[in-house]
Amino acid sequence: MDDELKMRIKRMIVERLFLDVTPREIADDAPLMETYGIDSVALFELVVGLEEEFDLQLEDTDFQIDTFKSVDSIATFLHAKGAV
Amino acid sequence: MTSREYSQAAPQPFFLETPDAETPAAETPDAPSLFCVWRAPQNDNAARVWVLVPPFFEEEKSARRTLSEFARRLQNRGEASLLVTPRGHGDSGGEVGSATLSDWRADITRAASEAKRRAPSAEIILCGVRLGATLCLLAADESGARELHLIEPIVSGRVLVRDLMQRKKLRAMMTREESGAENASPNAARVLAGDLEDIDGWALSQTLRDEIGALDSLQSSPPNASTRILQISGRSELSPLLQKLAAHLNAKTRVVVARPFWTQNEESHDETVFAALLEAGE
Repeated sequence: MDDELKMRIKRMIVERLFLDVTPREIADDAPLMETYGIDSVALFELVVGLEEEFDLQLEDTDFQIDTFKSVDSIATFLHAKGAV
Repeated sequence: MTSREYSQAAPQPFFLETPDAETPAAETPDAPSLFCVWRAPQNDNAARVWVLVPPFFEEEKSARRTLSEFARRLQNRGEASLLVTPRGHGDSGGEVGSATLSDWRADITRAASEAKRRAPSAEIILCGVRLGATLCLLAADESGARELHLIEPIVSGRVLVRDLMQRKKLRAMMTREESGAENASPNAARVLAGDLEDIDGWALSQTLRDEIGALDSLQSSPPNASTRILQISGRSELSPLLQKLAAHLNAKTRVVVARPFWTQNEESHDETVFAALLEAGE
């Protein structure tokens, strides 16, 4: 179940950020910002993608750098928000 | 007339000054100068003239090159264009902190009047991006537009304001800033006094923020102009909001899977975007 969620996250990341990799090539624990050169613009796209893909709205307190660190941390966050 | 001949006419930058009493926009005597770029085919006999309205705030900077290139390609196929910079942006006069949506809508109408003056026999086409698209929708009838091309129009102003605030938070999060943006702003004193609000690095008045927040394109009257909506994003399907707007306006739609050019800092010309833009006008 968690593998499915992480693949869904990875597909969304590749699509929204126009990454030149396949979803499978993104390691669960890879530091996304350093590995894929994600700036604030790309991070915003990621946030919008998460909100649309998982039908949630991020609160002010959700904007923590560690939340978006990796696919693992995003999956943990989504579980905590009850979005999955 | 060959493509080469069309493209030989150099772009003509100019300032659109405060209108005189004979123009329809005379009710805005304090309107600032608007920086515009006019492009027309060499024979000056364009059948269509596009008024290009960029997105606003930070997006305007990123979109500039793409819109200029689009204008050049329109010229290559014998069509004229007037690329207008809204007040408070780029080289245009005025300040965002003092602007209202009515002001920006009036800027579009002024630009359309100027385009009509320069190409009296040409049809007016309004083409806007993001908030510029929404304002084109609102200004379409009074501008006499025959066609309306809306690139990712803002459907909900509330969502736009939220997005701007989110971008600010994300930037602060990545750079560990607390209130650096406010302190660096030329309007810092007014921001600190609460007169203006710093949103994504732009100082907006509460009036303007409330006006934007109240925008709802689904409440606008469908214009007389034939309308087309373009979505440019990573999504391969039209978003639910744009689907609703298209149904409301009886608009054609086009989905382009490409990076939104109004968010890119690097210069890049995506040919799929230009193909869609140019196809939209055929």
